[in-house]
Amino acid sequence: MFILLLNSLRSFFKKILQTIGLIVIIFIACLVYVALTLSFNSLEKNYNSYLINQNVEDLYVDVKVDSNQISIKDIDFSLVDTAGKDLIIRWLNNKNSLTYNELEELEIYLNKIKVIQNKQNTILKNMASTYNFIYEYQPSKVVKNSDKDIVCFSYEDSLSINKPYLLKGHLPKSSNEITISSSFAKKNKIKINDSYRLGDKMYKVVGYAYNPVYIYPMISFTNPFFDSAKNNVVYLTNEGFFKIDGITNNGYAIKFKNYKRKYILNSDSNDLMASFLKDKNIILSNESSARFERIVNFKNKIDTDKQIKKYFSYLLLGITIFIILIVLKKRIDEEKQTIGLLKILGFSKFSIILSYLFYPFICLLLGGSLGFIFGHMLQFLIINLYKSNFNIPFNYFYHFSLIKKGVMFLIFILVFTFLVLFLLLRKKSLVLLKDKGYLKINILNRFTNKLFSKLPFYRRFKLSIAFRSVIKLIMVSLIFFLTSLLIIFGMGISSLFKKTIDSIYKDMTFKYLVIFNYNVEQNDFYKNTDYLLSLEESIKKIGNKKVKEKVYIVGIDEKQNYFKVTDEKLTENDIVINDNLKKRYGLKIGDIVNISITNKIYSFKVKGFTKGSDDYYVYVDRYFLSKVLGYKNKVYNEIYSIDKKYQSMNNLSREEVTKINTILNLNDLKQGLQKQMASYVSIIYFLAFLSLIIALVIVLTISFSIVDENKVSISLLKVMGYSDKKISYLFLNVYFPFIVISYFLGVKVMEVLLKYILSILADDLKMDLVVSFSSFQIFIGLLFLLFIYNISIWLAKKSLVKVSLTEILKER
Amino acid sequence: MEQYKMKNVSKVYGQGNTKFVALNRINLKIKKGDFVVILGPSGSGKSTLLNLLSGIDKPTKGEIWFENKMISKYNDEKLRKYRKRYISFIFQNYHLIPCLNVKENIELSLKLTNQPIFKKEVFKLLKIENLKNKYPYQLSGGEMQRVAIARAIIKNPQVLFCDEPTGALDEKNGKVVLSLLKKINYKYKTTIILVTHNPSITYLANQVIYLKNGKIEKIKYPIKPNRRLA
Ligand SMILES: Nc1ncnc2c1ncn2[C@@H]1O[C@H](COP(=O)(O)OP(=O)(O)O)[C@@H](O)[C@H]1O
Ligand SMILES: [Mg+2]
Repeated sequence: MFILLLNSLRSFFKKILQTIGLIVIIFIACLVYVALTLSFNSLEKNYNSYLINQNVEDLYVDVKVDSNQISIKDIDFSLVDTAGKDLIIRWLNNKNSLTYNELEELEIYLNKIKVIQNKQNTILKNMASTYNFIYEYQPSKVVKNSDKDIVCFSYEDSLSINKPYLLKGHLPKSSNEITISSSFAKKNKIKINDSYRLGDKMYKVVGYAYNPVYIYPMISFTNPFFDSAKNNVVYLTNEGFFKIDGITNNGYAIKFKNYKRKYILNSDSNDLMASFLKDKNIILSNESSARFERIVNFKNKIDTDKQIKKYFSYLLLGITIFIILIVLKKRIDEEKQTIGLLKILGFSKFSIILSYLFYPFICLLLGGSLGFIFGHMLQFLIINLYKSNFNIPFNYFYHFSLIKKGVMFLIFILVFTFLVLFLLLRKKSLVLLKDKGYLKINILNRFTNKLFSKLPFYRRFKLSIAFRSVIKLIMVSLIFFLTSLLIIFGMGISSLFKKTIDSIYKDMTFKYLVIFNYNVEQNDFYKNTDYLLSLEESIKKIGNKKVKEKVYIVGIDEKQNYFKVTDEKLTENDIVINDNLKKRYGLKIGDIVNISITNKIYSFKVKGFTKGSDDYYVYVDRYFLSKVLGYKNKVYNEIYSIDKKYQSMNNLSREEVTKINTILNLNDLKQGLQKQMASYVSIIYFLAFLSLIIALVIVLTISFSIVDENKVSISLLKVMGYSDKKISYLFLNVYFPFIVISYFLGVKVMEVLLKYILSILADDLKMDLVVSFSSFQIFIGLLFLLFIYNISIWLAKKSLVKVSLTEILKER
Repeated sequence: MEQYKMKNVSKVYGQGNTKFVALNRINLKIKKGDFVVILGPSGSGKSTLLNLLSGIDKPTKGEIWFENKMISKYNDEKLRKYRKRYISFIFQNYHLIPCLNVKENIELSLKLTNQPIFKKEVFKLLKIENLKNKYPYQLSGGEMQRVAIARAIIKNPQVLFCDEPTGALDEKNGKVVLSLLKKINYKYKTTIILVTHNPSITYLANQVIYLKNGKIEKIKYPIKPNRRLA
C-alpha cells in the first residue's frame, strides 16, 4: 500500500504547475463559498437582532380624522387666542363656511392644541386591542441647509418603538443638543462637541446615533438617493424638535405583538397587517412605503444575494469537480501501463483507486483549508461592503458548523471521483498494459473532419484537435458563453441606464421641483417658475371604447418656461397626451377622451402629443382644472423653478415651509441616479471579471492538458522542423472559432433576454425601455475575451516550448 | 563527396557525479546517397548518434559537418531549419497523429517543402492508396509504418533517419519496410541512416558502423549493394 501512495504522491510534485492550478481552483471555490456563507449568516443575524433590540416598527401609518368627527368638546379653548377661538367656532357651526386661507389658518390652530392628534390617538387606542399592537406618534421634520437635507426626529418619540441606536456620546439632554448620523459626521468632519447649524439655530453635537427606520438610507420614493455627505438624520429632544421649522411628516409607528414580520407591504392578503390596513381610518402615506422599504430592503437584498451566492457556489463546485476529473483522467491515461502492472502484481482495484484518490485529497485539503482561512478574512470585506450601504451595527460570528459542511463537501468530491475512477479502471489488466487507447478518436471527430475536409489544412488540423475532446470543447465554449452573457448584460444595462437617465433629464431645464401638501391658491407669479396642478385620476372612455386607466392629469399654463408641453393655447376641451398613452391606445389628433375628475366625467379632444415614455400623462388648461376642482382662481400643487431660494429652507418663510411637501434638487437627483446605476453596472462587470478569471484558469488547465496529451505529436512536429510558434498555433489556438461563436451566441441570447425582461419591466413601469448595443461595443467585448484567451495561450505556450525533441524517441 | 563528417564528437549526459559519456570521440564520414546502418547493443549510443547527425541534439564536444556547414555550431533555430529542409525521420513507434487520417498525416510533412515528390507516386510506391481516408487506429503496425515512410519521403528529403524502424514489426512486415527503404534509397538517391540492434539488417548497407559503449568498434563497407533488390 505504501508503494502505491508513493507512486501517487510522485505526480503531486512531477506536475507541479497542474497541482498548483488544481489547488488554486479549489481554493477559489472554497474561499467564495466560505466567505459568502459566513458573511450572509452574520449579516442576517445582525439584522434580526437589531430589529428585535430596537423594536423596529412593522408599519408606519397616518390616521384619517373626518372633520365631522370633531366636536366642541374635543377642543380646549384655553389654549387659543380669541381670533382662533372665533375661527374654530365659526367652523364648528358650519364646516363649509371658511375660505381657503381661513381653512389653512384653522389647521394651524387645530394642530397647536393637538385636536387632530388626540382624535387619532383615541382611534388607535381602540384598534390596538383588536389588532394587538403598540403604537407611538413619530413625526419628523425635513430641514434644508444649503445643499444638505436634514431629517429631524425627537428621540423622546421613540421610547418604545424604533429606539435610537447610540454609537458614540449620548442622546441630547437639552433642546440645543443633537445627535447626528455617524457617516454624515465622518464625511463632513464633524466631531462630538462641535456646533452644527440647523435652520437658523446652532446646536451642539453630543453623539452619533442610528435611526432604525433608516437601515437602508433612502429619502423617499420620489427621491431615493441618499448621499451620506448631504443627508443627515438627527435626533433632538421633544422641545428642540418642537421649535425647529421644517417640512413635517406626521404618522404613527405600529408594532404588532406576536406577529411574524412581513417583507412586502400588501393589503390584499388575509393576515393581521392586511386587515388592519383595510380599516377606513388607516392611511398609508408616501412616508409609510418609504419607511417600510428602508427597513425591509436589507432583508430583500440579502435574499437575492443569497440566491446569486447559491448558483455561483454551484457553478464553482461544478467547475472544481470538472477540473479534478480532467487532471485525474490525464494521470490515469498516462499511467495506464503502471496501473496494469500493479494489477498483475496483485494489488486490488480498490487499493489502486484509493491511492489515486490520495492526490485529489491532498489538493482538496490544501486548497480547502487555505480557502477556509482566507474565507474568514474575506468575510470582513464583504460585510464591510454592506456596512457602507446599511446602517446597522455589526458583530462578527464564527460558524464552526462550516467545518462540518467543508468535510461533507470533501467527502462528496472524493466519493464522486472514486466512482469515476472506478469506471475508468474497469478494464482488465492486460488490456491496460497493451493499451492503444491514445490512438482512439471519437465519432464526432471523424464526422467533423469529414465536414471540414474542404478547409485549408492547418485550419482542419486545429479543428481536429479541438474536437478530440468534446468535454473540453463544451467547457471552454460554456464558460466563454457565460462570460459573454455577463459582459453583454453589463453593456446593455449601462447603456439602458444612460439612455433612460438622459431621456428623463433631457428636457428638464429647471433646477428645483417643489411639491406642495395641498393646492395653493395663486396670488403672485415669479417669472422663473412654472406652476402646475397635478392630480391622479382615471380615463373612462376613449372614443367609444370603455377603458379604465390610471392617468396623471396636469394643469398647465399657456406659456411654460421649464416644463414644455405645447406652444399652443389650450381651450377648455383641449388635451395634450404623452407618447406612452398615445402608443398604448393608438390615439390620433381629434380623438375624444373621457376622464373622470372628482367623480364627474369630462370630455376632451386630443389637440396634440408630447414626449414622455413613462406612465400616462395628460395635460389640460390649469385655469379650467382649477375651476373643475371648485376654486375661483388658478391653483397649483407643483412648481418647476430655477429660483435659487429653493436651495435652502432658510430662504423660505415659515408659512411657505409648512405648505411644502418635498423639494427635489434636480442635480442631486441626477447624480444620485447615476451613482446608483454605476454601482449596479460595476457589480455586473465585477461578476464578468470573475468569470473571465475562471475562463482563464479553465483554458489554461485545458491547454496544459492538451500539451500533455499531445506531447509526442508536438515533439514530432518539432523534429520535423515546425517552429514553436506554428505548433502552438496548431495545438493551443484551437478554440478561437468556438469562442467567437460562443460570444456572438451570448450577444444574441442576451439581446433576446434583455428585450424580454425589459418588455415585462416596461409594462410594469409603463415605460419605453430599449436596449441596443453599438457594433463598437460588441467588438470591444470580443476583443476583451480574445485578449484573455490569448493570455492563457501565451502562458500555456511555455509548457509547450518545454516539450523536448527527444520525447518522440522514448519508448512507450 | 562526403555529406556528413564527424570529428572527435563526444556527447556527455548529466553533470558531476551523474555524468555519463554516451558518445566518446566519434569520427566518421557518410557519403551522399549511402545506405548506412548503425549497429550496436541497446544503450551503446546509437540513438544519441542519430540525434546529433539529424540536429535533434547538439554534441558536447567535436565538430559535425553537413555538406560544407558545421551544424554542431548551429543554434536551435538554425537546426530547426536544417531539419525542415533536408531531413526526415522514421520511428520505431510510427508516431502518426491520431486525430488525422492518413492523407492528412502525410500532408503535415508536405507543408514543409516546395518541391515534394508527386503524391500519387508515393502512395503507389508504398501501396497505401486504399488507406488514404483511414485513421491510425484503423491500421495495422506494418500499414502505419508505411504511412510513416510516406510522410517522411513526400517532402523529398536529402537524408532519411530511421530509428529501429522494424523494431515493433513482425518479420514479414519488417522485410517489406526494409525493401521499401532500399527502393527509396535507390530511386531518389536519399541518404538513409538506419539504427538497429539487429545484425541481420546489415545486408542492405554500403556502410555499417559498429557501436559499443559509445565508441566506434569498427566500420565495414560491404560489397556493392544487392542490385536485385533495387
Ligand atoms: N537524455 C539522457 N540523459 C541521460 N542519459 C541518457 C540520455 N539519453 C540517453 N542516455 C544514456 O545514453 C546511453 C545511450 O543511449 P541511446 O543513444 O539511447 O542508446 P541506444 O539507442 O543505443 O539504445 C544510454 O545508456 C542512455 O541511458
Ligand atoms: Mg535507441
